[in-house]
Amino acid sequence: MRQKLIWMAIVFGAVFYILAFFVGEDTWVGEKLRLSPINDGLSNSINVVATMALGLGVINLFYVHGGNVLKRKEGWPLSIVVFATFGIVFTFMIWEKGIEATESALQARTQSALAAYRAAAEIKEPVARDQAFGALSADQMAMVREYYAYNSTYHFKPRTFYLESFINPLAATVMALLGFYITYAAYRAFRVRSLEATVMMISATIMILGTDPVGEWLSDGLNRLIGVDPGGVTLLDLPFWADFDNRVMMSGMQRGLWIGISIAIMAASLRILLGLEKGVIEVRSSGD
Amino acid sequence: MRRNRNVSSPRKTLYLTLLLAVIAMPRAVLASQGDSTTQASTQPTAVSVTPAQPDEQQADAQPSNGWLKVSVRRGGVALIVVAVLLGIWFARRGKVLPIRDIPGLMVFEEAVARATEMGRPTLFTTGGACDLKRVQLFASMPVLRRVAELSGELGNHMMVPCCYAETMSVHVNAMKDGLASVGAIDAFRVDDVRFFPGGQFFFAIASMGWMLEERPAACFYFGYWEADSLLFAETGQAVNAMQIAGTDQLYQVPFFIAACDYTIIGEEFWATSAKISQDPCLLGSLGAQDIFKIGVLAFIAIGCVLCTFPWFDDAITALRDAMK
Repeated sequence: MRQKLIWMAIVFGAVFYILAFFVGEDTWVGEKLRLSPINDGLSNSINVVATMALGLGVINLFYVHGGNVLKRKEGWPLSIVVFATFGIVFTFMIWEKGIEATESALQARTQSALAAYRAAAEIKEPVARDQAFGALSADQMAMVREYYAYNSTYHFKPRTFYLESFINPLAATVMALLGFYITYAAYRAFRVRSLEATVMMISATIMILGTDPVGEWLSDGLNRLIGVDPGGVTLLDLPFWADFDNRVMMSGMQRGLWIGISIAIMAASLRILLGLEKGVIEVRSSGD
Repeated sequence: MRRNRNVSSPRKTLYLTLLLAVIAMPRAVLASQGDSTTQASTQPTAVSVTPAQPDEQQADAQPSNGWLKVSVRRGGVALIVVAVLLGIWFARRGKVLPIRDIPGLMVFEEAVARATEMGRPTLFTTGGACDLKRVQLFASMPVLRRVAELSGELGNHMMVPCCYAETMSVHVNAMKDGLASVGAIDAFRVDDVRFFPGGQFFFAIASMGWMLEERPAACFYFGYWEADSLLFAETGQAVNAMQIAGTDQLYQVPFFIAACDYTIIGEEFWATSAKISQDPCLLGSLGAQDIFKIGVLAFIAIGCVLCTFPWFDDAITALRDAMK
C-alpha cells in the first residue's frame, strides 16, 4: 500500500509537470487547467515536506544516538561526539543569527542618515559639500558615527569563522592534493601500452606543446629551418594542430557523446517520473 | 595480470573518429587560412551570434497567449517521450534490440571473485556529488544491486560510502535487494553503508581513510562524478584494487581512464543498467534512444548537406529560428 501511495504521488507529479511543460502555464489551456495555482501549491507542499524531514532528522538523531549512549552500545563515545558537534554548530548558528539581527537593526536605524551623509560626501563642490554636511542634524551624525564605529571594529562571527577558518582551508587542502594525483595519473597515462594509449600520448604531447609558448617558438624555428613562411600551416605547426585537435576532434567527439547522454538523461527522467525506474520506490524482497 | 587492460573505448570508435578527423582536416586547414585573411569579417558574425542566447531564454519567458505553447524544441521532447514509451511497450512484448558486450561489465564477477580470494572487501560508491537530484544515481543502482548479488553469492562483504542522507536509503535498498535475490540478506550489515557528509572533498577524504583501513580489492565507481574522481581512483591504485568506473561526466573520464582498469564512458554508462538488469523497461527505453539517435544523426547529415549548398540558406535560417 505504501509503495502504491508513493507511486501515485510520483505519477501525479509527473503528469502535472509534463502537462505544464507541453501546455505552458500562461496559455489558454494552462489557465483553464489552473496549472499556475497547482504549481504554487506543489512548491509549498515540497517545502513543508522538506521542513518536516529536517525536524524528523533531528528527532531521529537524538533517538538513535541517545539510545547508543544510554545503552552503552559499541562506539557510544562517538555518539557523544555527534551530540557535541551538533550542539556546537547549532550554538554557532544561533549566535551568528543574533549578530546578524543586531546588524540588520543598526542598518535599518541608520539607513536614512547614512543616505544623506553619503549624498553630501558625493558633492564635488567643497562649499556646497560643507553646507550639505552642515545641514545634517546632530542625531543623524550620531547615527553615522555609530554605524562606522560598529563597522570599523572586529566582531567575531562564529559560523563565518568556522567556515572560513576551518572548513574552507580543509577543503582547499584536499583540492590541492589533486595536483599531485593528476601528475601521477598523467605519468601513468603517458605510458605507451596499447594503440589507444599511443594515440592519447601523441594527442597530449601536441596539445601541451601547441598551447605553450615553447611550442610556438619551436614551430616557428622548425618552419624557418625548412624554409616555410612562419605564418603558413605545415605539419610542424603545433599551435594549429593543437587548436585543430581541440576545435574539431574533441568538440566533435564531445558533442556526439552529449547528444547520446542528453537523450539518455531525458529517457531516464521520464522513467523516474512515471515510476518505472527501479530503486526509487521498489524493494523486492529485502525483508523490510 | 590485470594491468594494461583499459579498453574503455572500442577500437571501432577510435578508427571512426580518426576517419572523421581526416575528412574534416582539409576544411579546417582552409578555414584556418581563411581566418587570417577574413578575420575582420568573421568577428562580427561571432559577436552577432552570442546575444541569441538571452533571446532564446526570453522567448520561453514571454507569455504566448495562445491555446498551447508549440515549438520545435517541445516537439523534439514529445518525440523522445513517445519513442521511449513505444520502446517500453515493445520490450514488454519481447521485442528488444540486442546490446553489445561492454568490456567493463564483463569483468564484474572476476573483480568480486578476486577480492573474495584475497580476503578483502568490495567497494561501491556513486561519488560525493551524486545526490538525489542526479539521474545518474538511479542508473547506478542496478550496478550496486549486481555487485551486491555477486558479493552475496561469493561471500564477500561490501563497503558503500554515501555522501547524502537522502541517497543512503536508496543505496541500502539496492544493496539489500541484491543480497536478498541470492538469499544472502543475512550478510547485510548496517556498517557496510556508511554516511560521510560534508561535501565531496570531506566525503572523499573519509572514504579514502576507510579504503586505506579496509584495503578493498575491487572498487566500483558509478554515478555522477566531480573532482573527487581522481582521489578515489588513486587511492584504489594505492591499495592495488581492481577498479571499474562508469560515468557520463566527460571531464572526469580521463582521470578514470588513467587510473582505473576499466572505464565505462558516456552512453555506455546508460546502457549498463539495462544490460545488467535485463529489465524490459530499461531495454525498451535504450532501444528507443538508439533509434532516436539514428534520427538525430540523419537530421545532422541532412543539415550538413543542406548547409553545403547556398540554395537552402533560407530554409536553414527558418529552421534555426524555429529551433530557438
